[in-house]
This record gives sequence, structure tokens and C-alpha cells, in this order.
Amino acid sequence: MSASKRSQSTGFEIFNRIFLFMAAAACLLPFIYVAIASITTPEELLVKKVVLIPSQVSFAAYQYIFSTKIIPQSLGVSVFITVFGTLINISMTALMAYPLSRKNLRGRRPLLLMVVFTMLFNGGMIPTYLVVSSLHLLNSFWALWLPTAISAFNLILMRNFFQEIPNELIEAVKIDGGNDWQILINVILPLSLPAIAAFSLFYAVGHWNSFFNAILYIKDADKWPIQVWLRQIVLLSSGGFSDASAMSEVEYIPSVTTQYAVIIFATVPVLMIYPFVQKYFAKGVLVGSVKG
Amino acid sequence: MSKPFGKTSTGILRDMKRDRLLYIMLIPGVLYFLIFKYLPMLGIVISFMDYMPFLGILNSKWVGIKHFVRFFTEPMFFRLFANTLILAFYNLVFFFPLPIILALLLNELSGKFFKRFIQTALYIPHFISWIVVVGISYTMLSPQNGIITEIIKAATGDTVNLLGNSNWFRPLITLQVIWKETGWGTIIFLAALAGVNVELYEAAVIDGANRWQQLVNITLPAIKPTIIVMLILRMGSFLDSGFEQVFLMQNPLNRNVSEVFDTYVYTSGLLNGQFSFSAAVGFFKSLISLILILSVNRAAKKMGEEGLY
Amino acid sequence: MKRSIVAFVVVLAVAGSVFAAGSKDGSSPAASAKDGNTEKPFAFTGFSPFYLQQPPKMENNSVIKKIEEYTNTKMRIDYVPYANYRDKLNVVIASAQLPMVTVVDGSILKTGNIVNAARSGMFWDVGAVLKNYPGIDGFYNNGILLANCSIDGKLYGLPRPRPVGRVGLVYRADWLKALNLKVPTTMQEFYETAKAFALNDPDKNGKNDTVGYQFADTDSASPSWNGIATLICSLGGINYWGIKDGKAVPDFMTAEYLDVLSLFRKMYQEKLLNMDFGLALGNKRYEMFNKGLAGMYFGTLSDVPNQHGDLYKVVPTAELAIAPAFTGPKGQRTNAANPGHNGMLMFSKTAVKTEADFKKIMDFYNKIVDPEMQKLMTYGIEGTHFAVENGKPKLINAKLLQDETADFSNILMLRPAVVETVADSPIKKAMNAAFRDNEKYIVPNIADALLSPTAAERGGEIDKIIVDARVKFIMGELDEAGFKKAVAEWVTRGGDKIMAEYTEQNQKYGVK
Repeated sequence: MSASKRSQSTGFEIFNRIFLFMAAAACLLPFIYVAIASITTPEELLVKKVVLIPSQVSFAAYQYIFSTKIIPQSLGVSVFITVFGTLINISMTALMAYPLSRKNLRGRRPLLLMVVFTMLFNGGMIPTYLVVSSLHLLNSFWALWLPTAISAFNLILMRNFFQEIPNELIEAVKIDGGNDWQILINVILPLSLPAIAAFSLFYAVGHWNSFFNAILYIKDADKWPIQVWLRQIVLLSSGGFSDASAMSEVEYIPSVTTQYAVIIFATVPVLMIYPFVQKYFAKGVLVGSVKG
Repeated sequence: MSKPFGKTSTGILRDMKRDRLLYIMLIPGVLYFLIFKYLPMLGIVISFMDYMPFLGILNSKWVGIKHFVRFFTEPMFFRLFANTLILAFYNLVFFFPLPIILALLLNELSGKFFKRFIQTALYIPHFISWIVVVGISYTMLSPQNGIITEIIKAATGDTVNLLGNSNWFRPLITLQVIWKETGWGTIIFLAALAGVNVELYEAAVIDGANRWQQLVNITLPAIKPTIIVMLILRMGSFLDSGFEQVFLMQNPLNRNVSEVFDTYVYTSGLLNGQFSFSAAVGFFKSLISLILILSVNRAAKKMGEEGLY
Repeated sequence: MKRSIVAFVVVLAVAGSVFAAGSKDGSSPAASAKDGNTEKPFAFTGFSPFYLQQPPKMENNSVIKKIEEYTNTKMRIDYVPYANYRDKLNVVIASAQLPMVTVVDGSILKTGNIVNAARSGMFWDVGAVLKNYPGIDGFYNNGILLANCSIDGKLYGLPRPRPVGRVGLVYRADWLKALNLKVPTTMQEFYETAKAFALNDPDKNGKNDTVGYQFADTDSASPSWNGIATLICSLGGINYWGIKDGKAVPDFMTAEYLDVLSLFRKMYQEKLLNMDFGLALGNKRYEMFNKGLAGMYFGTLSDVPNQHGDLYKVVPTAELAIAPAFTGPKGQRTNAANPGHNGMLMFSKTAVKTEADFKKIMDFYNKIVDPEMQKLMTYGIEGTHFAVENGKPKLINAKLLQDETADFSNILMLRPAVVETVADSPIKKAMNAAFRDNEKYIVPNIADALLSPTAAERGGEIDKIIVDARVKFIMGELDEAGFKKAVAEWVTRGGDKIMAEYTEQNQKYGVK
């Protein structure tokens, strides 16, 4: 049912639309600035700080990004890591969240406490590295998927969502002789689609943006995700290392516009996921499920 | 409503047998936490040692609370604590409610396309790295010819240096966080709102309730559990200041308010590979966060809400 | 749909294990050559950062093939993007998994991690055997360089030389000509030139929009890179740390330091330098200059050939030049010295297990300093990268040369501090000439050769007190008494220990 049917106050609706539009504009404008800056020539950007319409469009920054074979390849690597990583995340998180959402599960409190504790205390980078290394996971993608398989934060929230599902629906399956597995697959997951969608988004973005674990655990340069390269390029173009300038010629130091191209490059793929996920946030998923 | 079974030991075994599928489901997750979270946690022990990598954990010298003593007796300590706490409070009071309000407003939007457009736009700042955000802030606020500086000059005649003014550091940090994270923060609340039973709204409309009454009587109670949980979880990261952002915004002129735990540990601990010291400070932070979470969780339960556990 | 998710998970588990190939921990394979057997190539492993946007190509690389033939070795190097190099190095050291050859950058060499590792015996003592390798010994004809890389008087690796007089004053030569001025040779002349650049409209555009001197403060008390040290030295002062009356003192406790700060304060008041100097981050320090709005800067001369491409696009007629070392009030010419190195190549005992293996690695580097190898790394192979024209080499495939040599030869191989090629641009030639000239006048920083645990522990943190005070002083928010108070605070928060430790180390190991 659309919001407009719920009440008559169109004045509020207009105000709401305007307000949200301005908020969206405030969020969008800097991004548009970055996008335009990425196709402007560096000298124009230097002289006129804000460029609305570049007098000369230049794709040099993007050409630089694609100038090596390894960078476009790493895009594929990132996609692979993100897709499979998120699948692992969601399955493991949901699998653990469901039992923890059943209030009469024996041992629920200690288990939850165990989870919460890990949000506060951690051993740090080096002990984790040693554990991964001793499991012989070094240089494999599993080193990127396993150590971060479940986010305690997401786990707690997902459990929360599962708890809110009306018991009548669960009882209905039990009466028909179903077990917990069937409850999870047939009732919990379909009704939690908005939550699953939200957490998938969180996990996916986490994978897409991560780079340090790749550096730490993976030796082969052709297995590195794209963020590794993007960061290096940004540092290069901001003149980060004076030793570097001692060895490279002018053309090989990227100009300041490359930073902006890098941002677009790193951000746009993720933004494109969102519209597909959006439909899971629609209301009315529960309609028609509780009858009789 | 599930009724608890008997409290006798046969009751426990019976329950566990009944729920054996659930326990099986728990196995992968529990293994994960044990191997990748608790096993490395043994490494916390280095905060009580002078850890030397070449010697390993077993052979490094035990020094007890030496690093903690160093940390507490630094004259900087109280300043650090105060700066970190105040920044956290700003965040809690000024930022935390905003994604909720925004989610409620978004919820009232009709028109699928418009809604999708607005939401995508609102999420974009989350993906822009802090380097860029701070860079843009500098450009706009530069004392030399930043746009905002010029506007203020035109309005009041004064040339201000907001970036170098320690009074403006905290508001600027908070405003940046608001811009960057409010949109993204609505996601979890929108997911909660999507689960609200539509029939409740239908019934309310029939009863003549207006938008405000629907909000107060249906919507808010429906997302209250989510809000409470988010609040409690927020306590776990209360002492985290968003290292990258603060580090980039720090400068000699605002250091008295901008030096926080995370930046201090970075300069004095991690830059020099002082593992034990930074581990000790991390341990201290975790201890405080634990106390915070436990207290807030307890308070929530006393008020009749579901806690974390 | 839910069923297929489950199926998916199963499939991915299988697929993932396919990709887990190569999960063997490959950090230190055994050296394949038997002791004393010179027929099989000696394989060694290494860890190195890389600076460009892709790692150096080691396969199908004609230059590397030649090197491996000449030295009878096989190199297996793990590369890390420089952006993450420091963190990864710390973790690798902390897990004691170093390969045979590790590049230890100048910024990390004297930090607690490396120093402790060295002291606990993690690295081979190169200094003790240096005389057995005449090639390398002759290559380093600079006692200061070796001293600066020492830890407790011992040399635990092969230093990578860099120009010692690397900081200088860069100025717009075309502005100088337009205003009919002479090149500044003293601090006073520097001030007057800045004034002229700021007030006399050197770019003749009718607007008073130029700044005489672009100043970018840095966040370390060591002011080498922003001109303060250079100016102090030109007055006859010390370079960050010096010895006065047998004791080690930092420059901010000397009169010359305040003289320089007072000059900058005056320049700030007269608007001869940029107002946002305390905030200039990273590359922003060149921004005004590259826009054509600033006349001079003190900085790393190595940046001059490469960081100003933008300037030439905005002002095609711009001309840059480097000022020679200033003359001080007593007639002497002095310039601040850099450490003269960018770290060392260090050899870990966990991977280089026997003395025979250590000898093989040293033999390798002994051969690398041969003129033939050096020429190979500078010009490449005749016919592939360069051709001979009029008896001189001329590059025919510069990009291939860069791909095949740049990152790996400058980081992992021993190269001299100043590498001059025939293909150098005029500004690069000027830069190299400045390097050679500056060498004559340098004042070393005595702390470069010494260690202080307190400095390693909290040096960075208490240095901030001085940086903050200096910025505020220049902006006029702090007076001399206030600055002295900040110095006193630095002393009580550990500075006194640092001074004592440097004094003691200097007596034991210092360069007299």
C-alpha cells in the first residue's frame, strides 16, 4: 500500500520531498565534482578549483589506470572475492543467527556473550596472521574469506530480525511436522529478505573495499584485488614517495586527476549493485502470510 | 510464546535433544569464533611483555603492567581520554538519531523511482574515502581562498581559519561524519521498517489515525528493538574515534583537542613497531568498552527491553 | 530459490579449494645450491616494495636474465606496493618469516622493530666481512654513509646510497630575470627576494596575487624538508642534532633556530609566504608553486624534474633553477645534510642459514657493482633498449627499459647515489650538479648515526610539541617565552633522556 493512501496531508509530502531532495543533492554534489574532475585536465583543475564544465575533456586519468594488464584483471579478482565471500558470510551468519534467535535454546546466553566479547577484545593483526599462516591458508583466497566470515555486529542484528518473526508462522511448520532446517529455509529466510539484503550489502561492500588483508596474506600480485592498486596509484599521484621520483620519468607519475578517477572507479561498481537490491527493501513482505 | 521446559537435568538433555538440529547449525559459526577470534586473543598476553619478534612469545620478557603504567602516567593521558570521550559524545548525541529520522522520512516517500534515486544518492558519501572528504573540506575551508571562508568574509568581514581553530574541530568532525554516514546508516532501519505488518497501518487508517499517530503508535514501537540494539552495539565502539578521519584533520593548531587514543597509539606505538605498548592500550580500550556495553545492556533490560544476550 | 543458495555454497566450497592451490607457505624455500657447488644457480628470496603502479616484471625480462647469467643466481622476490610496505614488513618481522634479502627502508631502519631484531641477532653482520669484498668496499667510499646506517657501531646490511645534499632552494628563474634580481646567496637575500616576488608582480599580470616563498611545514621536528634546517645551517648552526660542549643538543635549543623562525614570522606578517603553511598536506605543498603563484620553495631536489609538469602546463615559459648553498655570516658555506641513504638491504639469519649462503649473497652484490652490471641497469641491452650513436648510448625503447629495470634495480640492487645518463633533461643535469656541489658543504645530523631508545619510543610524539609551537610562533600566536616553554615541556616529557642517550652513544660510536 503506498504511503499516500495512508493519510491526507499532502503538505507534509511536499515538504518531505523537497527536504530529501536537498539532502540527496548535498550528498551528490561532491561526487559529481569528483566525477567531473576526473575527466578534466590537471592544469585546468589547478587553476580553477571548481570546474562545472571542463573546457577540455581528457580521459588520461582513466587511461593511466588501465595502462597495465594487471589492473583490469584485478577487477575480476575483486568481483570473485566479493561474490563468493558474501555467500560465505551470509550462509554462516544466518546459520548461526537462527539458533541464537530461539529463546528457549539451552546455552543461548553464554553463546551470545561469547559473540559480544569478540567485538571488544581481539588479539590483533599479528596473532591472527600467525593463526592463518599455521593453517596453511597463506596465498589462498580462503585467507580473505575465513578470518572475516562472520561479523559479530551483523550476527547480533540478524538474530534480532529473526526474533521478530511471529511465532504463529513457526508453529505452523512445526504442526505440519517440519524440523528447524525447514523452518529456516521456508519461513525465516523468505520473511527476512530485507534484512538479508541489507547484510549482503554490508558484507559485499566490506569485501570490495578491503585491501590490507590481501596485502598481508596474498603474495601473488595477480591475485590482488583492485583496491590494492587504487591505493598505490593515489599515493603515487599525491607525491607520496620522494624516492620514486628519483627513478621514474614524468609520464609515469600520475597527475592529480588520477586520484579522482580512482575514486569513481572504486565506487561506481558498488553503487550499481544497490538498485538491484533495493526491491528487497519494499514493504509488504508479510502481507497475506498470517491468515486464519 | 514458548514455555521453558523443566529445570531438571533431564530437562536440559531433553531440550538439547529436541534442538539437536539447531546445535548442528551452530557448529560452523562457533568453530569460526574459536579459531579466528579466540585463538588469536591469546596474543593479548603480549601487552604484559616486552615482545620481541625474534624471540617469540615464549621467550620475550614478562614485564607485568609496565606498559599500562607508562600509559597512565603520561601527562597526555587525561587529555586523550577527555578528547576521545567528548568526540564520542558529540557523535552519539548529534549523529546517532539522524539515520533513524531520515529512515522514517524515507519511509513516507511514495514513488518508487524517486525513492530509489534519493536513496542511491544518500549512500554515495559512504563510499568516498576520508582522504577525499578531508581534502574537499580543506579546499572549502582554506584560510586562503576557500569557498566557505569567502562566504563568511562577505557576511561578517572577518577572515576565519576554521581548520586551525580548535573550537571548530569537534563540530567539523561531527558534520563530516553526518554527511558521510547518515544515508548509509538508514539501511538497517529501513530493513526493520520493511518488516512492519502492513495490515496494522490499514487498520489504523480505518480508525482515523493521522500520519503522526501512525508514527507514534505503530512505526516507532516496531523499530524500537532495532534502535535499542544499535545503541548497545554502538557502545562497543564508543572509544573508537575513526582514526583516518581524525588523523587527517589533525594539525598543530588544534592538537589539544584532536589527539585521541587511536592517533596516539599510532604515533607512539605502531609507527615504531612497539607491539606490546599498542597492545596494552588496545587492551585498556577494550576493557572500558566492555564495561560500557554491559552497563547499557543491563539498563536496557531493566527498562523491559531485549538486551544483546 | 533457497535450495539453490545451499547448492551454491557447496559448489563454491569446491571451487574455492581449486583456487587454494598455492596455499603452501612459500616464504623461505631452501637454497637450491649445494655448499661449494658453483654450477647450479643460487636461488635467493627477497622482499621489496615497489613504487610504480604495477610490480616489476621478473619473468621474460631481458635485463634480469643477463644479471642472473652473470652472477649465476635465480631471484624470487615478493613485492608489496609501497603504500602498504611498512605495515606488511612489521608483520613479517613480527612473525619471524623474513626471506633472505629484505629491503629495509630509511624510514624504518632505526625504528624499535628493526633495532631490536638486529640486536637480538636476526641479521648477518656485514660490516665485519666487508673488506673481503673489494668491489663493494670500493663502492662505498663514504665513511659517513656507513656510520649513518650503523646500529651500535655495527653494520648489519648493505646501505643504499642516496644524495647527501638533497635539500635546496628552488626558484623561478624567469621571475628573477623579469625583476632584474640576483640569485640569493644568504638568508637576508632570500628574504629580500621573497619580498620582491610577493610585492613587485613578477608575472606581470597586474594582480598582487603572488607569494614569495611557498612554505610547507612538516609534522616532524626534524625540519630538513621544509628549509628550516638548511637556513639554520647556513647561519652556521647545527642540523637537527649537533654536539655542543660534548653534549648532544637539538637545534630548537639554539639561537639560530629562533633566528630562522623569527624571519619566517616576519614573512608571515608581511604576507610573503602562504597563509596555510601549517595545513599543507602531501603534494599540496607544491600547489601554489605549480599554479604559478609562488616564487620559491625549499624542498627535495629529487622532486624538481618530476613534480612540476603541471606548472609548465599552466605557465609554459616558466624556468626553474636551483640555488647553490648559502653563505653564512662568518663567510662559510654550509648546507644541511640528509642521512645519505635510504635504508639497507638486510640478510636474515632465519632464511640465510649458513655462512656459505651468506657468502653467496655477498658475492652476488660484489658482482652487481661491476661497471658492466651498472651500465646494464642504467641503459639496458644494446639493440633492445639503446643504440650507440656517435659513441654515446641513445635510448630507443625507454618504456621497456623502465618496465624491466626501474623498481627492481633501484631498490634491490646497489646503485650509486647519483646516477647520470646521457638522456638526462637539462633540469635533471642541474639537479645532479647541485647534488655534487652540495656534498662539499654539508653539515651532518649526528643523530643519524646514533640510537636512542627513548627517541624510538616517544620521539615522534613529543616532537609534535615543537612542531605545534613552531607553527604558532610563526603565526604570531606564541612569543619567544611561549616557545621556550614548549621546549621545556619537550625536555620533561623525555627530551632529557634522548639528549643523554645521544650523548652517550656519540662518545662510543660517534663520528668525530
